Amino acid sequence: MEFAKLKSKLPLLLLIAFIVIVIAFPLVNKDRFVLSILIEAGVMCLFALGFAAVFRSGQLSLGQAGFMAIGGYVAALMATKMGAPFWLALLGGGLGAAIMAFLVGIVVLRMGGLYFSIATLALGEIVTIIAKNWDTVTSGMTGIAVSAPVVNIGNIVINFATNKLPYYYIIVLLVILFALVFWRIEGSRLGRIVRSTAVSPVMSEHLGMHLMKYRVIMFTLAALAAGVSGAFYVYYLSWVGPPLFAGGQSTMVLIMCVIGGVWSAVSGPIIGALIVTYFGTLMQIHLEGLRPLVFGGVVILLIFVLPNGLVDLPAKVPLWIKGLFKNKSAVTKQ
Amino acid sequence: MALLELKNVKKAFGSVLALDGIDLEVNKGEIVGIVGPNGSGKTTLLHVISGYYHPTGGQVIYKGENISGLRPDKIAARGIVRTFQQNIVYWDTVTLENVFRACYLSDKTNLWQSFWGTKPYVQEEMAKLAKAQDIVNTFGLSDYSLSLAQGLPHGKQRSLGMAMALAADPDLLLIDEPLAGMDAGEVEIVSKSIRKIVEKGVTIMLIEHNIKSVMSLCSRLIVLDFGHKIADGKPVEVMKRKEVIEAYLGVE
Repeated sequence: MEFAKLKSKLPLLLLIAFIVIVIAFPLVNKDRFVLSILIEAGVMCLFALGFAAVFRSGQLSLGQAGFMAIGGYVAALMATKMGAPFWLALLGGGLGAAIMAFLVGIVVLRMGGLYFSIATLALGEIVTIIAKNWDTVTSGMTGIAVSAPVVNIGNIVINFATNKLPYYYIIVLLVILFALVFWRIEGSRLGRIVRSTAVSPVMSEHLGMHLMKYRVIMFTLAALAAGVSGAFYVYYLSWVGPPLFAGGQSTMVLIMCVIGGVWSAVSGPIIGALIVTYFGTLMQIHLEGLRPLVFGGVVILLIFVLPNGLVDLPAKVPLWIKGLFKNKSAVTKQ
Repeated sequence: MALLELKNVKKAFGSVLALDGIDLEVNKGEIVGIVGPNGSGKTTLLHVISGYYHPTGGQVIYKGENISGLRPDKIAARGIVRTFQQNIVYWDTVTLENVFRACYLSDKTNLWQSFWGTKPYVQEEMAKLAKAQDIVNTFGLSDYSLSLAQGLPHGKQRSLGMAMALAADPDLLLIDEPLAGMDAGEVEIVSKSIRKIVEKGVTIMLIEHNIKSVMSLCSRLIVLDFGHKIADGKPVEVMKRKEVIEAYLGVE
């Protein structure tokens, strides 16, 4: 009885433990390299959460990096041209990307499916090309330098340029915030409608659901997440330029979601983003050039072994162990 | 005034006229059967009424309003709901939730309220759940209410399709081959549930190949052949007509 009670509380306890570890980690481990990986992983978490939301509405976006870029550039321009503070630039970046997604979405999501994928792929490329060539605004390949924010709280001065720790806590906060939003959507009516329209668009439409409305909502929310992550990333690197958000990023986020598991709205993308960023960085140092090959191999392997991604591992492992014993007993019987 | 009126409705696929000037009326409380050989345009007719296809010409008038060319979800919101020839279900979830999701049109609270889980939203969801359970019971699916919809036997999946359409509170229900591939026992159950739907005041238009069931279920029959309406009237009279027999059996 007691055990059953404990078991039902297990996910919550694990979540609390995870959050405590996340908060306490940089205080224990002072390695700056690890901290930088974690911050980048946080940016990717935010990005992947949005991507998964679109994916779960039945649409495959191949240009999410475009929205990250829009967020990044809007934030950089707000900071340099208007002198906007950090938080306002983050918000502006997110809103800029969301508005763009809304405008594109109401046109492109009418068709959905493959057309949507092709259109988003093109959009991602267009954004990069504009960033490269619109010299008067984006400064082309030179990019825009953004100075790190300096925050004064009473007598304490936090300079983001010398201390990366504030970035870490801000991105953790942002990831938790967006994770909560997407988790709540998943559990409420919107999540149910979105799943319905993804599983059977034709029937959902004949039951009264306006497909495009819900697709646009998810696409816009996803772009908001991508925009905020892009804006944050630009501040963190103190620079924005076209290579930052090249088409490869849109593919990486797909790989993250496949590895983590896209059938869970929150844990899958987060786990995928953490793992892919960590191993990706390691491979960049030790196996440069082989990274795409390794990730490609892992994705193919996972599709065969764990089609629902790593989040499915706890459910699958007992089955595998059972299968192992069954085979052995069958052999001894013969 | 007729509930549904079709005026010279045409639907062309390239040079093929699948519907060639159909005129018909459906009155409230009727069960109208649409019969005809394969390829005569029955399902196309359903697609045109439900908004899946836009008619190439003519008018679909429902409750006095021209609804031709409207989106399927708009037409569903006005009270025309349909089932499908194939078994389409939400494969990712159980039977009860399938029907629960189909109650979409009765939602009054908005997405914002649902996000914060406000009291009216929760109450509405509970009421919907009770309604879904009730519909599941009506269609004899209570034993399957917590099994995955994808794994249901064929006959049960067809019943589920109708249950979901009913959950959308239609005034006019379009049923596409409800009895296809069913055994005698299942035919009996489904025929009963169709009669129950009619008792709730729903008008029905159904396509069916099982002539025996059509004759006993329907109050009126419309016969299509090559996109034309060739007969319209009481089932017994219609089935005696020469052109109907010719269309079904060929001419000597």
